[in-house]
Amino acid sequence: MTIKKYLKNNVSLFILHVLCMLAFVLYLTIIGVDRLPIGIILSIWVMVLMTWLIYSYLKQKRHFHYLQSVIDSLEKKYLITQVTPLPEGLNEQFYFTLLRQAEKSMMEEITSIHHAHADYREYIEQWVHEINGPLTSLKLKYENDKSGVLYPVMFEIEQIENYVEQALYFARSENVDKDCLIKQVKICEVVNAAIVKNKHLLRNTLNLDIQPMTETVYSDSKWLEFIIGQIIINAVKYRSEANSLLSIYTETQNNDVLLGIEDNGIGILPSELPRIFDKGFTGMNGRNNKQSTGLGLYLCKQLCDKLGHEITVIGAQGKGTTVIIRFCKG
Amino acid sequence: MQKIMVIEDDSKICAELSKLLQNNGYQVCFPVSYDSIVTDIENMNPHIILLDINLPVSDGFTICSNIRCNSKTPIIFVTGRKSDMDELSSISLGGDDFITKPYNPAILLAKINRLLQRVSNTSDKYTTLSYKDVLLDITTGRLIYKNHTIELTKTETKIMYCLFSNSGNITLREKIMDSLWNNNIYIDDNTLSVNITRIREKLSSIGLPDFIITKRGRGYMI
Repeated sequence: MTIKKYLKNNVSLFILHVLCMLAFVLYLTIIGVDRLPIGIILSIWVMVLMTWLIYSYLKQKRHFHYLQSVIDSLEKKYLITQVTPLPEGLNEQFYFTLLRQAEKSMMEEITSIHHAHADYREYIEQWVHEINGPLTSLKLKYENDKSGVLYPVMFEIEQIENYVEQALYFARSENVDKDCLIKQVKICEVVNAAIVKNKHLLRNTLNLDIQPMTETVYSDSKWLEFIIGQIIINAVKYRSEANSLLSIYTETQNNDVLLGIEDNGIGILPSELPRIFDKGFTGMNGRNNKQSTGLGLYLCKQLCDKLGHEITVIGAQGKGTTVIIRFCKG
Repeated sequence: MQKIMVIEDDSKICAELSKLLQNNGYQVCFPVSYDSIVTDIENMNPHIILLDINLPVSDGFTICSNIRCNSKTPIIFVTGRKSDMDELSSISLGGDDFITKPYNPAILLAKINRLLQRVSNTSDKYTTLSYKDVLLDITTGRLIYKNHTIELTKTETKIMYCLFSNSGNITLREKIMDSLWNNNIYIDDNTLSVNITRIREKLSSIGLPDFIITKRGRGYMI
C-alpha cells in the first residue's frame, strides 16, 4: 500500500473536511470573528486531521503487512481465514465472512473430488485384482498344454500383464510411499526376475548379454523389478530389425552402483531426450509405434525419484539407447 | 505322494492348478465347503495349503489364523493384490510364503517344493532320474549308463532334466526354452539346437546314439 493509494482511498474524507472548513469559515466571518482565531482553529483542525491520517495509515499498513506474512507462511493459502482473527472494521468483517463461506464451499468441492479420486483408484486396484484371475488361469493353461498351440499367445499375455501392472503403478503413483519397503536387494536377482517375467517377449526378439552382477543395493525389489521391466519392454518395442542386442551390466563409481541397460535399437532423437520422462510424451518413435503410451518412462522416473535412485537416458538416433540407474550408497 | 489343498474360489484356476500340480506328482484336494475349512483340513490332512486371500465367506487371513490355532501345515498365500500390506499380514498371521497372481507356474512349483523339503527334511526328490537304464544325476550333472559316465554342462543337465521328467512323451522345444529361461539360462533357438547336438555326441560316445528322438517341428523325446 503506497501513500498515494491510501490518500486516493480517503478522498471522500478530504472533500468532506474541506467543505466543512469552508462552511465554518464562512459562518465565523459572517458573525464577525477576527481572522486570527479563525486561522488558529483551522490549523488545529488540519493538524488533528493529519495526525489521525498518519496514525491510521501506519496502522493499516502494519495490518496488511501482517496478513501478507500470514498468507506467505501458509502452505494451503485458502486456509487464511482459519488462522487470522476476525477483523475490526464492518466492511472487513463482511468480506471476512464471505471469504469463510467461499472457503467452506471450496473445501466441500475438494473433499468430493478426493473421494471420487480415491474411489477411482480403488476401482483400478480392484480391476487389476480381477483381471489377474483370468491371466493366472491362462498362464496355468499354457503350462498344462502339451500341444504347444498356446505358445504364440504367451507373447501377448506378457504384454497384457505389463500394461496391467503399469495401470496399477500409475494409479498408485501419487501415494506410493505406503507401499514401499526399502531393503537390501541383490541386483542380479531383480534383473533375472524381470527377464523371466518377460521371457516370451524377449525370446526370439533380442539377444541377451547379462553380465555377472554381484552388487547389492538398497531398494524396493518389486518397484525395481517393475522399472527394469519397463526398460526391457522399451528395448523390445524399439529394437532394430536385425541382430538386436540387450546388455545389462553393473559398474561401481565413487561408491555408487550403476546399473546399465543398453540396447542397439532405433534410439531417440537428441531433441527429444530432455522430454522422455514427461507424462504422456511419446516422441517420434511413439508416433511411429502406435502402442506407445508415454507412461512407461514417466513411471520409472517417478518411482526412481521416490526410491532415491537417479535415472538417466543417453543415446542417439540409430545408435541405441542406454538407461542408467544410479544407486547411491548409504 | 504329497497332498496339496487348494483353497481358491475361481473354478477355472482350480481346474488348471490341480492339473498342473497333478502333472508334477502331487495329489490335490479341495475343501468341501468354505464354512468347514478347518475341519476339512483335519480330515484330509494335506502337506501344504495354497490359500487365496479373497474368498467368499471369510477372507484368507481369517482362515489362516483359524488354521494356525491347531495346525502347523505350511501355507502359501496366493493373491491378485500386489501390496506389501497383504504380504505383511499374511506372513505375520503365520503364512509361510506369498505369491501374487498372475504368477509364473514354475515359481509356484519351486516354492511348494522348497516348503515341502523344509517340512519333511528330505533332500530334493528329483536329484536322480532314470529312464531305460540311463541315470541322470542332477546335483552333479552326470549321466550314467552301464558303468559309463559323461559330464554335462549346466544347460545340458537342465535340458536332459526336461526330457527325463517327461519321458515317453514329446517335450516341446518351447517348454525346454521356458524351463531354461526360468533358470536364468537365456539362450536362443539356435543355441538350443547346438546343445542338443552336443548332448547327442556325448551320448553316442557311451553307446546311446539314438537316445534322443527328434520330433520335427515340435520337440524331442526320449
